[in-house]
Amino acid sequence: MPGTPSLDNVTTSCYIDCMDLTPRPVWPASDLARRRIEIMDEARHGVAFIRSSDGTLLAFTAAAALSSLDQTQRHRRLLSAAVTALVDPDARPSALGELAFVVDWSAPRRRQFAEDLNDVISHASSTGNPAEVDAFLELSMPRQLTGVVDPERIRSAIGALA
Amino acid sequence: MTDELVCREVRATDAYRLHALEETPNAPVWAREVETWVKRDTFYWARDPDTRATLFVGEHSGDLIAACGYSFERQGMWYIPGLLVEYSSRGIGGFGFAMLNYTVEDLRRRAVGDTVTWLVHPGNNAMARLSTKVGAVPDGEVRVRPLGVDEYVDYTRWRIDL
Repeated sequence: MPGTPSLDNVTTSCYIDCMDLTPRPVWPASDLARRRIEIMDEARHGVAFIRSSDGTLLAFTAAAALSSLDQTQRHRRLLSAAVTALVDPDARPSALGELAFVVDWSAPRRRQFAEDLNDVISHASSTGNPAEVDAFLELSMPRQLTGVVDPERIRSAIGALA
Repeated sequence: MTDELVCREVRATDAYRLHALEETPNAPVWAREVETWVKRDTFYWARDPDTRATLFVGEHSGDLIAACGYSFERQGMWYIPGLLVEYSSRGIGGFGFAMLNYTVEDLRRRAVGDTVTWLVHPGNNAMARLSTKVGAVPDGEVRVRPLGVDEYVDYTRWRIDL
């Protein structure tokens, strides 16, 4: 089939498993110009593997996939920090990373926050919208830190709008 | 027609949707204040154990369009800081009444015999009508509130004995 890489077309006889578990060819760097259409097509639909001349395995993929990977790593860091906050009541702010603002919170509040964070990350992963996590974190930060609302003002009358 | 507004307690995954509520163009200061509070501060307010607050949101056709809640003021007294119906959904479906009524009814179940109050800006005729419709009465109290720069406004307090 034209355009479909096969072992015959690939000088490196190495197939590896990638994200969709389909064995993929590893293209030699020398094929980058000659087979660019096939390689880019493969990258567009998942990932294309290139073996550089020094033997390093490189992956070509859509920038969106890379961004998704970055988001996943950030979510892992956030959940890890949330677990730290749950198991160590005396955790230092530096150990909590982005979640340093929970350091003064009580155990029940931290537990509620961790549950919320888990829900939001799960939802954001399913919708593919990382802004959900950002909005949640922003709205969860103690208001004094954002410097925009005096807690007394919240407790005082706000009025109503219908 | 109010049957299409689905009211429920806020979830963490609503933070992004609260944040994304449409802003009223050229809103007066008193209206902007409530809008800003709902978009930016209500989620934290609802999660802060010190407020003993409960925040509800209203969904119409899957879109989050309204929010209202109450917090503990003192023994026997509860307070509704604000009610918001998104700009483009006002005046078309009785959503404000549905949202406020749901909030009051929830409090009635939880704190029978107590009193709930809220403040209404003198220019907010829609809220005054809504307040009457849910069975509230102005209790003669007037609260002077700072609003904007060097501006102080007399808000009318409305109450319902639950």
